[in-house]
Amino acid sequence: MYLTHNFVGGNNHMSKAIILITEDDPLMSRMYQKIFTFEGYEVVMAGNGEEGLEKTRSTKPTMILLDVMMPVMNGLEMLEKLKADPDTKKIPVIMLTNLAGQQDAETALSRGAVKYIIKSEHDPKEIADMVKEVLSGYTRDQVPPTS
Amino acid sequence: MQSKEKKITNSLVAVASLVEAVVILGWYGHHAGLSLQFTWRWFALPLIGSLFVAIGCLILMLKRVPTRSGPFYWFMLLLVSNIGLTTMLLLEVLSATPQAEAFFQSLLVITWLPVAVLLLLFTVSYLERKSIALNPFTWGMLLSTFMLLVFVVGASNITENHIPAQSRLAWWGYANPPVRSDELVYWWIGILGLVSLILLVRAYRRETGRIAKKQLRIFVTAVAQYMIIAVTFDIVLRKVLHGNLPPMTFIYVTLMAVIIEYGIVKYGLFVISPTSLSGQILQDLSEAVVGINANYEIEFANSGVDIIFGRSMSTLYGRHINVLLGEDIMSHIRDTIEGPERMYTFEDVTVRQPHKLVDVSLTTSRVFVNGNTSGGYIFVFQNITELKKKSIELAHEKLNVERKVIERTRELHEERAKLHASIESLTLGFAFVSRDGKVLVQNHTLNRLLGIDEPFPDIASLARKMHSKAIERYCSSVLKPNASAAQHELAYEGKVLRVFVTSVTAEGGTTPIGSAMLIEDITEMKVLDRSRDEFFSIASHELRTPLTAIRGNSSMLLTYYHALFKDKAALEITEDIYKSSLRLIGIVNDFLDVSRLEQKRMAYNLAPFSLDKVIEEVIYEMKGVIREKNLTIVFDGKTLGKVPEVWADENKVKQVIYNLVGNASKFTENGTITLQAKQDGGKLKTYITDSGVGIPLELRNLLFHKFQQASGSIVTRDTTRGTGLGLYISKLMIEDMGGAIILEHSEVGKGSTFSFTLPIATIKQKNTQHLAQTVIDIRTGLQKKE
Repeated sequence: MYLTHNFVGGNNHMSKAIILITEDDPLMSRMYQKIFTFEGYEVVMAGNGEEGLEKTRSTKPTMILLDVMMPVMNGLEMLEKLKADPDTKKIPVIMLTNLAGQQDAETALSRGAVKYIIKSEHDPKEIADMVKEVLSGYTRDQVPPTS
Repeated sequence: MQSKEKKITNSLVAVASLVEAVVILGWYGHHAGLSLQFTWRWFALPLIGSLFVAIGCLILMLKRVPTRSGPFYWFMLLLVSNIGLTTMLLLEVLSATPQAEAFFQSLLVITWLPVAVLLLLFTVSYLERKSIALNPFTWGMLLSTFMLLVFVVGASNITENHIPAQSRLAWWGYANPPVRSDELVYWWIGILGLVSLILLVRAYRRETGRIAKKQLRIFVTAVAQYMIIAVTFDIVLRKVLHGNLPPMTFIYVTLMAVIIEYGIVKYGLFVISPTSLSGQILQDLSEAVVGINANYEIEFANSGVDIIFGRSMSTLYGRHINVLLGEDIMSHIRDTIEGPERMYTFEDVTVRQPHKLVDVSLTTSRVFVNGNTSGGYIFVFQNITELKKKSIELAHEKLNVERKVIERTRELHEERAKLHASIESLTLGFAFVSRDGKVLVQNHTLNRLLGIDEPFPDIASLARKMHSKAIERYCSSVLKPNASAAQHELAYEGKVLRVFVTSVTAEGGTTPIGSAMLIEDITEMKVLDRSRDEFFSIASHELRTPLTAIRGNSSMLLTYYHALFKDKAALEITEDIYKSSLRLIGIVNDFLDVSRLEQKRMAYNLAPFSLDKVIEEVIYEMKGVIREKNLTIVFDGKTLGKVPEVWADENKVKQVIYNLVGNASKFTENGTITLQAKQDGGKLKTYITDSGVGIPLELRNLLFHKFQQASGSIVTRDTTRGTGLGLYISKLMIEDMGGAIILEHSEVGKGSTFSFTLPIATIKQKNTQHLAQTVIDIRTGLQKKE
């Protein structure tokens, strides 16, 4: 039903939503880049946490999809830094990972992520739907919760 | 003798004496045809005084001397005689007629004569210190002596026809009849007194006891003054003055009595004399003592001979010693004892009694008579049968003890060897530390673990070597009351050591004697632990990532590039790729779950929640499958909101319900699946019933096991229906959360009912919602195990 209310298109009063995908594995990043491009988002890619932080500052994304296990700086560290910075802490973060432990999910959520998605459990389209769902909720209220 | 009997005896003696005196007096007076008339003379005064002194002495003896022995009685009789003597003398002095005077004088003789006899008897009994009881024999002797004296006096009266003591009448102013000297009686009495004196003086010279010597001196004094005065007055002066002399007897007799009594009262009466007893002792010895003369003839044998040889002593006198010992033994003894020594001892002599053999030891002693060696021998036999038996027993016992000691020592050595070998073969480091911190035992493993070449003497030096006081603290902490064992982990030179310390208490003791310490190198284990953690993350991440790519890309192909699949086969291939990826992901998930569960590494986020809601969610999410298989799913809505909340991990419970409903749907075609939740005691029980194929009886026990599907064999395994891990995982999860999962019932062709229980959340649990405290390693993103 959300598909019928496309809030991300450029034809609306809002500008095109920017999705920052922080993902080190090219298999994954290519796949998610495709699906979000198909779904009409502007997609920015980052290969690790540090690059992710850099791209966050430069592109001011609407939403960040964040992998946990990455070289240089992992997802949780990046999440902490995002939430510590007043400029970036309002950007909703969805953890997108293959670490299936429940504790990992709880940790991420307690540090300010809005959702914890296990990649293998969902088709890319389902993930895009979830992102849309989250995004629509925040854009409506205009006050994305920070933590 | 009992004191009551003593009193009776005393009074009887007194009464008998009195009666006898009166009878004799009356009888004698009657025959003499006397008229007794008295007059006063001043000479009566000293006599009255003497009488009082004599009676006083008697009373004093009774009151002050408790020893009722022979000497006591003889002395008492002596005192009584003295009273009689003094009384008769007094009556004589007070007589008014010569006949009366003569009569009393004759009576005086009767009381005077026994004094010397009694003195001798007293002396003898005192020196012998033998309790001469007043037996008929003694009485007879006394009476005979007395009668003899009376007979002497009486005979002289008859033959001479006058009273011997009339010699004294002249002194009182009467006509002096022709006098016949009663010298015989005087000499008799004098000799008796002299014998007493000689005996006492001899005893005095021999006596070694200080007190006895003092007492004897007093007695000698007493008898000596008696003798001197008696001889002076009654023999010498009477002769010189021709009988013209006042009677002085009462003075020296009373004086003697007073002096003797002084000696008795001052020092008491001795009753036991070793010299007098020695004969008795020798006689009563349990050792046999035999005296033989130079010809080996028995001259003496004591009662011990009876006991040891079983022969009466009386039959032995004068017989050869061979009758006791036998010729063989005796000839051997004879050869020896005629040697140069005075005494010989034979330890092992066997004596044959009528019915038994007796082991004796024999000591022989040569008797010297006037320096002559041929005086014979004294043989002393001692029964050593018991002693010998005891010594044999003792020797046995000693042997036994020695054997036991050897055995125990060997056992101890073996034990020690075993213990040593055990300790040395331990792959763990071992040390035993005494209470005061000394290291008593340590094995090589310990030295190797700690990289030490030499054994360390105490725990303090070990602690210094390790640069950590920790190990010292561990050892002392277990010695405290109520602490028995403790386990610690210690980092040392890049190793991780696990230190297990326990207090050691000796059997039967209460205070620990020290602590035993086991040290294990767990570095490798720690590394393995860490590797296992990493395996989980790698497995979950690295396996899933490519699978996710396959799943995601095939799904995108199917979603966005439908136009590509003009060829139906190409579409099918792509769909199969997609389905395979799904199944593989499922398998990976199951495997990871099983590993976690089996290693008890599964984390549960326990919290109170409503099971209804979870069931509703599962049903909602499974709608697609249900519809696909044309199934009806029923949840007993009546319970909604009415069943209590459970205390469990919501996600895990959801996984279990997924699994059970999934299984039900797999095995059911065109049927119904029913879910129902009911309170059952402190648990909430959830039933999942299907109208499917059912499970054959023989396969039911395969349920809930790893990789088991309810199918006959591995070959017939339905590979399209998952890994067979679902029920196994569900079972482990439910059990971990405090519940149980079972197959309620099943009927082939009609369906099955599974159920699981979960604990109902308590009020306390509801109020204090448990929050999992976990720490995530920031570098790996993995949760740390605390």
